Amino acid sequence: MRLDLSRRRLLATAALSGAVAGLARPAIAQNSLRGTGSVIVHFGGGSMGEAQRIAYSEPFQAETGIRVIHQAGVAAGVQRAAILAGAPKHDVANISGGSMAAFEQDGLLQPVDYGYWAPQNRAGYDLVPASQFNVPAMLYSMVVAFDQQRYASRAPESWADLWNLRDFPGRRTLAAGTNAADGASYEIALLADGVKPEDLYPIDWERALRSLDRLRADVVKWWANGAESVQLQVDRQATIGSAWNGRIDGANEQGARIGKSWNQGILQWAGWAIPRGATNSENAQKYIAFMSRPEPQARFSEIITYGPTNALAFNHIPAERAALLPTAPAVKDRQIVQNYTFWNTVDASGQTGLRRAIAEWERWIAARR
Amino acid sequence: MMEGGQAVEIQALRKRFGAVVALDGVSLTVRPGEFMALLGPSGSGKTTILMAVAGFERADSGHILIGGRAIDRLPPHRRDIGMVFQRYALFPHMSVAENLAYPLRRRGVASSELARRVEETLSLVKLEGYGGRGIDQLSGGQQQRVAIARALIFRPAVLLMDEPMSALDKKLREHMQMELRLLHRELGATIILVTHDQEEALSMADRVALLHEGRMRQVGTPAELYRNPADAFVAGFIGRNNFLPIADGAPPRVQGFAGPLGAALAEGSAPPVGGHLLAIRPEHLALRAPDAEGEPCRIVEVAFGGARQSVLAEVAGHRVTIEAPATERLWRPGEAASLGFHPRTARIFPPSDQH
Amino acid sequence: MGGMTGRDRQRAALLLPALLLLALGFLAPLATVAWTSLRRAGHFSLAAYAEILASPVFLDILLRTLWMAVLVTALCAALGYPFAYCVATRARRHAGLIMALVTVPYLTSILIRSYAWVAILGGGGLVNRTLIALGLIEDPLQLVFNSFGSYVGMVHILLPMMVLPLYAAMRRIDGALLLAGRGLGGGPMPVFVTVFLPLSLPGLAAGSALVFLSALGFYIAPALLGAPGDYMLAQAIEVRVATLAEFDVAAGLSCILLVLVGGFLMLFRRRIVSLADDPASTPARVVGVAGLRPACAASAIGAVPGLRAALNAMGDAVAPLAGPLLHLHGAALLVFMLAPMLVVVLIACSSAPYLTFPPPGYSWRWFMALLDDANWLEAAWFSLTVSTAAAVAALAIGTPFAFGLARGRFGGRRLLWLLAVSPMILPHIVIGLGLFFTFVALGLNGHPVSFWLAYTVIGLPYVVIILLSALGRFDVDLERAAANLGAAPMTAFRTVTLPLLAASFVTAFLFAFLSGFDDLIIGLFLSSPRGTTLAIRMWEDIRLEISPKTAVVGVVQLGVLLVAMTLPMLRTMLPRRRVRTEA
Repeated sequence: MRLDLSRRRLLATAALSGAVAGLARPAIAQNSLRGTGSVIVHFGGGSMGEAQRIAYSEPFQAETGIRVIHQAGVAAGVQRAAILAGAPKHDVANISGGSMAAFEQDGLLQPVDYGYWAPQNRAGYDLVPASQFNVPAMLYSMVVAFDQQRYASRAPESWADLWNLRDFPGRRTLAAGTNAADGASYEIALLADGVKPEDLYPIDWERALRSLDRLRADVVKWWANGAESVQLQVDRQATIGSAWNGRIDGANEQGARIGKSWNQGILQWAGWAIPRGATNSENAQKYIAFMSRPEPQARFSEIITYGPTNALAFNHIPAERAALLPTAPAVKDRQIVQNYTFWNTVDASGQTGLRRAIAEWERWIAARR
Repeated sequence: MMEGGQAVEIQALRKRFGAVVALDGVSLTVRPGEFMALLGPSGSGKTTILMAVAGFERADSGHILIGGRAIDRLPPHRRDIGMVFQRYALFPHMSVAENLAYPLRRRGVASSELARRVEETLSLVKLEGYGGRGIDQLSGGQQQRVAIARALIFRPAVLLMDEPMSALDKKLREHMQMELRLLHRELGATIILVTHDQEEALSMADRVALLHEGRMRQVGTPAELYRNPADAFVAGFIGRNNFLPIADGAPPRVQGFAGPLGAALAEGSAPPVGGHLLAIRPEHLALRAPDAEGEPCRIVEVAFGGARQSVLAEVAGHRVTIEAPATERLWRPGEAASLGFHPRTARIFPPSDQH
Repeated sequence: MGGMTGRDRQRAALLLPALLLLALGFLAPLATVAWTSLRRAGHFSLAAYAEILASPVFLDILLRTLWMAVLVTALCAALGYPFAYCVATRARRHAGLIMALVTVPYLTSILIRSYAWVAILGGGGLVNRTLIALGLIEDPLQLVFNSFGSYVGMVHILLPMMVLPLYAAMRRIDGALLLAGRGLGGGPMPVFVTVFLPLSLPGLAAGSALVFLSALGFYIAPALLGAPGDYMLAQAIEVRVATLAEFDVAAGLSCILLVLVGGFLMLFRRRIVSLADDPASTPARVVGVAGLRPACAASAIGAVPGLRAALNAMGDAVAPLAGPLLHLHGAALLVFMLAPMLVVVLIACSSAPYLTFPPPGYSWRWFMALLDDANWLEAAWFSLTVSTAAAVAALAIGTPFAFGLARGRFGGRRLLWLLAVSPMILPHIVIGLGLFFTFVALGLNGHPVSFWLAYTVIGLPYVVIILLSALGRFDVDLERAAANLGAAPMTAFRTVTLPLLAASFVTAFLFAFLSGFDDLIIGLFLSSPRGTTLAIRMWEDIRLEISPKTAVVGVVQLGVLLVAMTLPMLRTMLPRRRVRTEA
């Protein structure tokens, strides 16, 4: 009885949003994803969770009859521990691009079954391909974020401008080095120091830290998480810094006035994957296949400004909305796709880039305390 | 209100704490209705006996019987023994009446009966009208009465008291000692009192059991202990005593003394042998004029005490205390005198067990 | 243990439930973790330790962590002692209310609490705006995002752990004893130094142990409010587990921390916790005696004439000022404790769609949003149930453990004590890692029971530390008297021990409860569709954006606390069961 009620409510929700209602029928015609049981899916929480629920989970549940259970996301290390213990947290995990390679290398993931997919959808993953073990979930960009009022006459357009204290005075904020690849502070420091995008990798740690040295006195706070990066600007604690594009738009939708520049944005991604030992792996394959379709991806990007990974989704996104997305054709070439291969490759010192980044950061803060 | 006391038998109790032997085979029989004092210096084992009777310490071996029944296996709360703790252990979160009612509640006494008995017991210890007070609103003496009342209210056959007077000042202590005697006579309970204060033990108890280093040294009436100490320790612990070394050879004499001991020795005393000690109480020594019969001595110090005077004198290299009447002659330091024994008062002990 | 008597065996048996729990919920996970630290690529290896020892950075981080923990402990003691003293001696009537208010900092998530501090201390924050408006400064002071901010954040949350055990210890110091000390010739100062201070030391020791051990595991407050240099070992470990998944190095660091802190505690345990080592010694009685103790104190004062004179002079000089100063300090500290909560209340009532302070307007929208969210309500209920059950279990298991340890006379009690408090030393992420593997092996993965067990384990140290300090000063004769008067052990406990140690039991329960309720890190390991805590829901929501909804949770918790506090007040208004002695 209760299940029926909720099903009806979901269907009503789906019917209300034209895009979703429109996409459902052809999808069923393509290949059926119907099934039984449930699937435990990583849940992002906040507005990202809201987008996921509306764009993916509810229509998936309505179309397939498979119950979607949202389960809080966990850090990569926790997810890895869970898989190693034989009890993964999710059937559909969301793993940041920086950590994905390690999961693949260590055999912690199940291959993606592309048999559930419409062929054109896989081809649509042009910027970051859908691979044997994972499917990019969304693309987002670490960009220059700034106080629009403070820099009304001339907006900062590059990381070098963030370092330019004469023309752009004010307090700074950048990701703390403990965020490793996700914080992108090493790439940012090198770009600001004049390194060309094509010469970024391998990261020259010494040069990056010397560059950070120059900014250090003016950084009011090295942000620890995404919420903080934007909150510092909302509260005017900092007037210029790095932040994810989606966070900036989220704050602006709620009344903040934070500017951003796509120039030299560091494009990052997170991917869907099915952990080894997942109990509902068939349903997980179906959920991932559903999310590969351009229509729900378009819906997702309408709710939150994270870019679709299937380029075909742009066919369903209004132009004004598309302009806000990091993967919009007009802006995607001005950004740099972060090189996760570098971040997961062992260097001469025997460490991966991730590990090196944290070790270098710990050394840096200790030496310059 | 108490149905007469019961006998307490302690049989060959042994207890060790690690390397320390607290009780080394102690036996003692307390008769029904008797007021027994356990006396001894600290560490003698007297408190351990009390704790064993109350059930707070379990002896390594030996038995305890109350009214002929072994209680070794009974937990403390089922022994039905009253106890007055050294610092009273009154429950600070309860009023006086609630403290008194506590043992009755544990025994399921009906509330009407309970109130009556609380009232009755309060009047027994002369604390009528104090029921509603908090413990911290009482003086030390009042706290002690409450502690006694709480230990008596459930009519135990045996009452244990652990140094109950130690927290009171001298005057109050003497007053309470008298009251406790009266209470004992009135109630007829068996009382075992632990104390390190011999005056308290001698003045209050029917019999005194003197312990030392975990062993029972002597049990007897106060007069017996005083007059016929079983060994040098008892002789030294109870009252004051002079100990003088006996010289080798016959007839027996104190080292350095000219005259023999003669008639000074009490009956039942050990035969005097060289190296033994002669014990003689200060009141059994007599000071006479220097030309009188006796050992020549010199007065060192004198303390005047009204009817009596305490005199410290030096005789043949020994110092002795003499308790003399102050009615005849007052001695002065530096004076010469002659020291004599009262007949049949001195005792001889082997030297090893004095202290 | 050769000379153990039957009674000591009974007391040793009191430890069993706790030992069983620790074996399952701490030793087994710890062994898993330690095993991890000794393996690399499937083989036995000391590589993790070699790496740690070879790196000068780790030593630096370790020393800094210890230093920060020591400093925070000293700050909490310096601020908390006069506060607890003031409440215990001068504000007894309102003590319950004040002590409840002191726990208010625990009621909000660390993220929203940190935000409140930024709102207060930041460049455009309340303090700077006030100072500028008063014309005292021209440019805003840097009060946050530096070490000052770190210490503000840490002291704020750790101060209750110092104040509550101190207060519990001071409450049991009898006023008559102090008066007696004064009667025997001590002025206010000598009486304080020779009577009050020594009697309150167990509370100070317990508080210091709680603060120090908790501070060792801190990292979020320094990371959000401090300078980048305020980087603590727990953060280094957290990053290695969460981001790098280098379990061996994280485990190695944890083991080194445990051994170092354990050794440190073993050295100073005598000062930190009072266990009766001497068979002849009975814990001194504190309640209701005006006997030998003040005399001893007075003679101790008399022994050093110069000191006595100096103390008297000092006491006389300070005495008239002491009262007002204490009240001023108490009021200031309360403001310090409550100010962030005030900010949180305002944020919760904000009409703004995002987090901003001061809010542009006020509304109930975020309360409605919370009440409408079945997920949050369900998670709140789950957290409440599991944490309460865990606190009850920790108390039920920790109480006999503390009794056995305080009263028993068997060997190895130091080690047992250390074992019971160790879950506080190990960073939660490592406990979470170890527990997770253990629970999966036991088939408890994702089961609500796993949360219950985990929170019981992390609540246990609070119970043991707080109750041991309480029992150290508890007069055993009171329990003996109860037994002698006919009370079976449980009855004696219920009617005498429990009421007399009520403040300590409540404190212990509260901290045990909050340690579970506040937990996020272990919860993330254990989370499953069958078990998601409120902390996880909040974290989900505020990882990327802080919404006022999280502030609402804090306000709701504050409301619950206020209701819970008024209940005992109502009870005191009811007539107590009394013996009627009127004829």
